[in-house]
Amino acid sequence: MNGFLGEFEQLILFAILQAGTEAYGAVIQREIESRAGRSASLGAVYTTLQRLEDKGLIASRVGDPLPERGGRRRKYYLVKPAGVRHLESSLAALRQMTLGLPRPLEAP
Amino acid sequence: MTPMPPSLATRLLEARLPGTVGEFLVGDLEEAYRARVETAGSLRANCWYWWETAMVLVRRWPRSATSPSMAAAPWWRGLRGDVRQGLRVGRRAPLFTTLVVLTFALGLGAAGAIFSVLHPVLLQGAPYPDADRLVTINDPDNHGEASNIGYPTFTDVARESRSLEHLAAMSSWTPILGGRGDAVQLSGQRVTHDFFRTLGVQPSLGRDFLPEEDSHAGRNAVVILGHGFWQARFAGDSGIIGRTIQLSDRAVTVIGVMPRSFESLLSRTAMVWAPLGYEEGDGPACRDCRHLRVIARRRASVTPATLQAELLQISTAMVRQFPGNYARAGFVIIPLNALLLRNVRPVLLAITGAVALLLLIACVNVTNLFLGRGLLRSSEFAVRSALGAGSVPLIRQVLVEALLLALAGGILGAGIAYAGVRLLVHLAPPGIPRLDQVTVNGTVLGFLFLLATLCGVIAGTAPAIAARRTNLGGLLRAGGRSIIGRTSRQLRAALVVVEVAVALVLLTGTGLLLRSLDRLLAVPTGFDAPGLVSLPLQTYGSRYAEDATVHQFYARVLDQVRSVPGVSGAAVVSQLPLSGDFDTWGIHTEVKQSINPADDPDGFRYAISPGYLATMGIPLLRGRDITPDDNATAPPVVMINATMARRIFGTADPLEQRLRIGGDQSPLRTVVGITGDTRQQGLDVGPESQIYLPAVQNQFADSRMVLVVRGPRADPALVVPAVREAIAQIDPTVPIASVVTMTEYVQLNAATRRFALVLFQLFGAAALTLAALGLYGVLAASVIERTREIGIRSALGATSGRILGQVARSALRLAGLGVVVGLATSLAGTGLLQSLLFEVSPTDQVTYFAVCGLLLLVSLVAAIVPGWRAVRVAPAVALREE
Repeated sequence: MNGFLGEFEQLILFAILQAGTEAYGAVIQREIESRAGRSASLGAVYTTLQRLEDKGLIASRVGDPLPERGGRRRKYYLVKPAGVRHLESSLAALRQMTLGLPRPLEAP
Repeated sequence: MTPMPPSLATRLLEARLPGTVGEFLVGDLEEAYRARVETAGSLRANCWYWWETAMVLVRRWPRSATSPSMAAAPWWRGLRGDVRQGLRVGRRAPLFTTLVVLTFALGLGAAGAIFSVLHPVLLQGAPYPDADRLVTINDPDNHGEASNIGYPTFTDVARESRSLEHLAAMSSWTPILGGRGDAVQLSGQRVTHDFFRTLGVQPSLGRDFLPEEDSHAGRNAVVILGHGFWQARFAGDSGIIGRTIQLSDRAVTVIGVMPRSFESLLSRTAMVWAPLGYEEGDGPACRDCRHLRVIARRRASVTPATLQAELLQISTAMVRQFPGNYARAGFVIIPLNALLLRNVRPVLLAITGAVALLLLIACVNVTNLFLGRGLLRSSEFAVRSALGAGSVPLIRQVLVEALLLALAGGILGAGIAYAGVRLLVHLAPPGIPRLDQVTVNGTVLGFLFLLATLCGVIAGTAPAIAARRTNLGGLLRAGGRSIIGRTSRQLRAALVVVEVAVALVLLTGTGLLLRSLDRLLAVPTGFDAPGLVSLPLQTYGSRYAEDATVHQFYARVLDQVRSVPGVSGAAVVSQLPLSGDFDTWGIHTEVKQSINPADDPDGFRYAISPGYLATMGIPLLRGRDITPDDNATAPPVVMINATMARRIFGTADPLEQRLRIGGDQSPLRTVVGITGDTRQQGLDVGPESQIYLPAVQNQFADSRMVLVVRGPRADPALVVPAVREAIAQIDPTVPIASVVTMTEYVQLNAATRRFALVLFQLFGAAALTLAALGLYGVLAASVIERTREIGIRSALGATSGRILGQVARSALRLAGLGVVVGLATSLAGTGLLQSLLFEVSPTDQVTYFAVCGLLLLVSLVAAIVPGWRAVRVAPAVALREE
């Protein structure tokens, strides 16, 4: 595995996993907003998605045109196994780094 | 009513976002915007939308791919995408790509190779400063052609002319370097002191000749060396200046070395230069002793017309003063640049034409391939234009693809050109100037690049237009079947016609050259070349100061050589037929033919040893041959050839008539024999007057004679080592310059035409192959398109023969039209070949019939093969194929 994931990249990957089969841009933005309490612009979300796709961590498929989007299609994302492995190793690293630290900093 | 997000923001977003993201991001925003209008009201939703837009606008968007919709983009937007698309398409269709690239490479490679040759030869001119001001000044001969000049004529011009900056006279010089055993004959020039100043060059080492060295004293005292000779012989030692070297038994001082860049174009092999050193009253410096060539530099302030007028004035005055020495007034002035190209220009221009035709065929073929593939891709184009792609991006896409392929072809073509140049230099006939300068350099590569671009545009334009015209409605009606646009079909038919026409032009050119060469090599040389080998001999130095010693030397050589095993005959002669030797003398009959002796005819003079006719195999028609009894004390005799007998004596019997060779002081000689004609200047130059006299009866002994030896017929060179040995036994200091068989001289004479022919054959074969492939492609495509029709017709009972007949007829109709167009073009254009043809008319019927037949046959085969395949398909299969 090469390279580390940035924090925002991790958030996006988790958001895709949380959204399940309905993970498209607006939903991902909403997940990050509601769960992490961060406000992220859709522009930021999309540039990061593009980067993750280039890294081969996520895949996408294109849906049908929808009237509520002005006849535009949705692009749905899902996390590839490589992306899951990246998240796992990031989390493991975090746990190791926090072991033995005073309560608020130690990860569960 | 559905709330709509601010349209300006949406437009900004669409302009800013790359195609891969735009649709989805804007869609997400619109979706979320509608939700927000419901929950937070339109004002807050609008503010949010604008904020999101601003965040998008400030962000950097990586351009990983381009939008498929380019309708509103400027024409250049997405060019990189086109290139990538082109590369992808190219990779996906390897056969197509290979075919197109190879076709381009073939055409461009040939063009590049020819351009490499043309550039230094035709386009650059002589490598001297302001070479366009250099001219050669010549006396006219009896036919008004440029001829050599006598020394007093030169000094008169030098004295009288105001329009010339410098001028110089020169004659050839063959000094001998070294002594016993290692004697080498050098090639050089004797020049007047301003020679190098006239050319505008100066020695890179040492100094130029001084005016006072151009005299008897300087004549054998100083010498300037060529760079190559200095490097080879003296290892580039700069201490050579001021040293003395032995040239033809005399010690001369080296005063200068020419720069490496100096090319001696007036005497290509010259490596040493010495002063001419004539003074008034010298024997060879007479007005009639025309053996000098004159090069002159016109003043920059003077126009060529002014120079011409001034020289005519000077010449007119000279003729008035010395009427007996000049047949006519006026000099023949030939610019140096024109002189260098005089003989090779027709070949090079004809070849350039052939290459252009080949390139045209290549372009036509590629256009065809593109059109053929355009059919397969018509659905892609239709879908793209249905999706809103404008015609500009579609045209551009096709053009970019064509350009990419042409450039790839150009790169491969550069390789072919590189190999081709080496082949050209290897094949090139003698006399193509500056051949050593021929390389594939930056200029050539730049030219190739431009040409490749041009070819790409030419080959891509028609398919691009055809792609634009793809009829969407028709395509949809056809239900995905490939349909062919009328434009496309007509275009391809037109291309077949062009292809056949161009191939016909090239092939007729090839055919005409082939027949010319056949005719030329069938020209009787007048002697029996197989088995003959020639060795030029040169006597020099104080030992040969007496003419008697020279004659004695040749007599002993002949005695010795005739006893060499395998030698069945040997003789010496002052000039050899077809070898490039040129020695004409005025011939004056005892009975005056004209008032002014300068108007008397001239002829080639051959000083020979007895046995020359027998050795060469020249027939004696009447009278007797020259014998050993015709010695220095016997009455002077000559033999003349049949042409001279007819020209000078007409119906009168030439035997026992008397004539003089050269000036008034020469003796009257009696004609004792009449010989057959031999070709002296070239196979394509008709027989001239020839006159043979015993060498021992000439006024002087020629120091250079050519020994001809008749050896084994299969390989006369076998006796050469023994002959050399025999000569060395008599005098080891006599150098033997070059051993050439007479067959080689004959071949060499046809070399220019052979060169043109070989190239035309190559181009003709390439053109025929390309044209046949193109025809096959087009006809096969049209037959395949009609598979369904053919199926229906066979189902309805049409025989294979009938169907094939129809296929063949439609192919022949196109090919026939091409033949007609090609014939018209050939007849109009092959006049350009005229100067390369020999005893063949540019409208030679045999050639034309053969070529037309060949092309029609090829067309027929190209149509029948796919037709046969179509007929064999079972009707049911053909019908199901939809």
